[in-house]
Amino acid sequence: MDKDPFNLVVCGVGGQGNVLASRLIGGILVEQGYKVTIGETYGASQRGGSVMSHVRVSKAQQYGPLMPPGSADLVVALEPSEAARVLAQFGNPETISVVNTRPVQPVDVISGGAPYPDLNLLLERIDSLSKKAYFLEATEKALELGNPILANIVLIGAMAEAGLLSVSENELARIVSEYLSPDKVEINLKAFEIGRDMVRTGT
Amino acid sequence: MTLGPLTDFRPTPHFDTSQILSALPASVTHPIAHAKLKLAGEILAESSFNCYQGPVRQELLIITCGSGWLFAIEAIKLLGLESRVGLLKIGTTWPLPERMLLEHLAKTERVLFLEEVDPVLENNVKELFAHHNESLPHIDFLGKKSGTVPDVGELGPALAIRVISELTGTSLPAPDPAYVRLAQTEVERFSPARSLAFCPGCPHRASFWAIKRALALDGRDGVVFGDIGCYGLAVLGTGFHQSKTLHAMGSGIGMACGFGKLDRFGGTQPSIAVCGDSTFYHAAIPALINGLHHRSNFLLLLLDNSATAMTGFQPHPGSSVDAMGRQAPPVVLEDLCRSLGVRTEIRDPFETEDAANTIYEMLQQEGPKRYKVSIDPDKCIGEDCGCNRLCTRVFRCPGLNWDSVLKKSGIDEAICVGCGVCADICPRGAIIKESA
Repeated sequence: MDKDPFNLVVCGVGGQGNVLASRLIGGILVEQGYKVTIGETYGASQRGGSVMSHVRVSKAQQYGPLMPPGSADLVVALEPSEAARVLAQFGNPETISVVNTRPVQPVDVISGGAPYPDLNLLLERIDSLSKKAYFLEATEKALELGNPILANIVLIGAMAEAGLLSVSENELARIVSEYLSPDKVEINLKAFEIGRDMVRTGT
Repeated sequence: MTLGPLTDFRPTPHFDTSQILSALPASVTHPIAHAKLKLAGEILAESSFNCYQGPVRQELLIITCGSGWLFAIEAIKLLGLESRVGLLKIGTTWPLPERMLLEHLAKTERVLFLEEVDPVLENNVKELFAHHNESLPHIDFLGKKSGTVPDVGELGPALAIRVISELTGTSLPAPDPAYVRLAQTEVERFSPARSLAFCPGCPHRASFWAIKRALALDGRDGVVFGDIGCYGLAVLGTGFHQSKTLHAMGSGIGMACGFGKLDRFGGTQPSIAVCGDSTFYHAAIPALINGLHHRSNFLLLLLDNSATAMTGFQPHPGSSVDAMGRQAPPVVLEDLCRSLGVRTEIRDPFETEDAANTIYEMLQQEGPKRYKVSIDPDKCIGEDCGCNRLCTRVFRCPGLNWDSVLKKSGIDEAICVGCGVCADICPRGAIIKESA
């Protein structure tokens, strides 16, 4: 993390474990001596709305809870159309994206009010709005583990493997046990390892 | 900084009964409160929560508090204005640190206020200026009142950068135009709107479906008064736009109670309140009691999902665990309602047809009514009746009177409240009640 401040957006749909992911990332970085500020837009967190957390990381000072437009260094998206939404406002040619490719259809789409974009075109757009984009079938892998919400940890694993977040298994285990019950640590570590594998093997 | 061990400080609860803690009488406590406020002002004048950073003389002084301070710091840094713009952060917004403010106002001609929501700092600093204007320079005050900062919406870094750059004639390096063009093209196509919706499987969706069906069957354009909780979303499409009001917690029953009294002015629309279990325990029980007491005609639908769902499934007084996770005696919703003497039915919203039919049936039930009560002088034969003047001598309602000349009962219109019970007890049917 050589840029200071380093601006990270975690985004997705309410109920995907967005807020927890930003808390875990923030917690890991605080332990490493960074000053971290998290600004959350989670009023609709349980109800299918767009959710976005700004994580601002600095060695020098405590930054404000929201980043200026066009200043995201990293976008971690649990849903692809949410990645596009965030990039449109906070992206720049240097932004790196880590994206779960599984769409969550808005009720506006389900009810016929709007079409969901063609997935290939959507991923192309994310790619062209990013310096580099990592696309992962994180929900599918999480479902194999038995719970789709683990997609958030799969993405954290991918961040680690891609060199975007320095975090060891032990650090992750400790921070997960702070936020969740101890019996959840093992399954979360598995999800983390799967995320690492996916980036390592390019799947 | 090194933190030492925490001391094991466990005070024993004790109320010093030689003292009285009361705001009354105001004649005694009001001067004390003012003296405390003055003392607080003196203490806060020295507080390090208030601080200035910037040049000795600045072309623009930003007076700010809260998140506005963080946004301003970032904007000044990004725009390279450290030597031109001063930043006065007020951490103790009331009472204001007056001496500090006056020192800085004496050295500036332009002030920008950055604060969330209402212009509180802006108004109070301007008032302070008005008191000292003879010893201060002319100052342009810029903020929400001058239209420099929008008076609606949230502050944010983008807004702070825009306002400060306009006032100082500076700008950020332009973003890559090709990127901006691509990013701003067809945003809605790639990011379709994501309206709020009840979670899949949420009982509220079923409840509002049943309400919608019952109101359609009823056909009298019934009005649903909403309340605070996930079901507040029923003003939106996810609840089929069934709720028509959404205000403070507990307001739904209060409004339904008022609306349920309008039948005497010719109102015919059924009045319905929806309220979640947690909101009911927290804020709606007094409104229900008030509604019953005032004989308002409304139907209360308690949408009980056994949790404070909206904020994360915290327990409430209906739960069998308390806030610390210990076993606790639950207060049972339906028992509480029945104890008030109100007809209470329990239905499962997932049995939608049954729920809808019950709502419909309960809407047909006549609520407590007010009648216009009168006595038919031809039917009332007074002492000759053999009823022993049941209404006046036995039932003894003060709304009745006895005409000693005509020797018949009468209604005192000034006193009768129209409950209509006397009409039901008169053996000759001489007391007439008509819907008011």
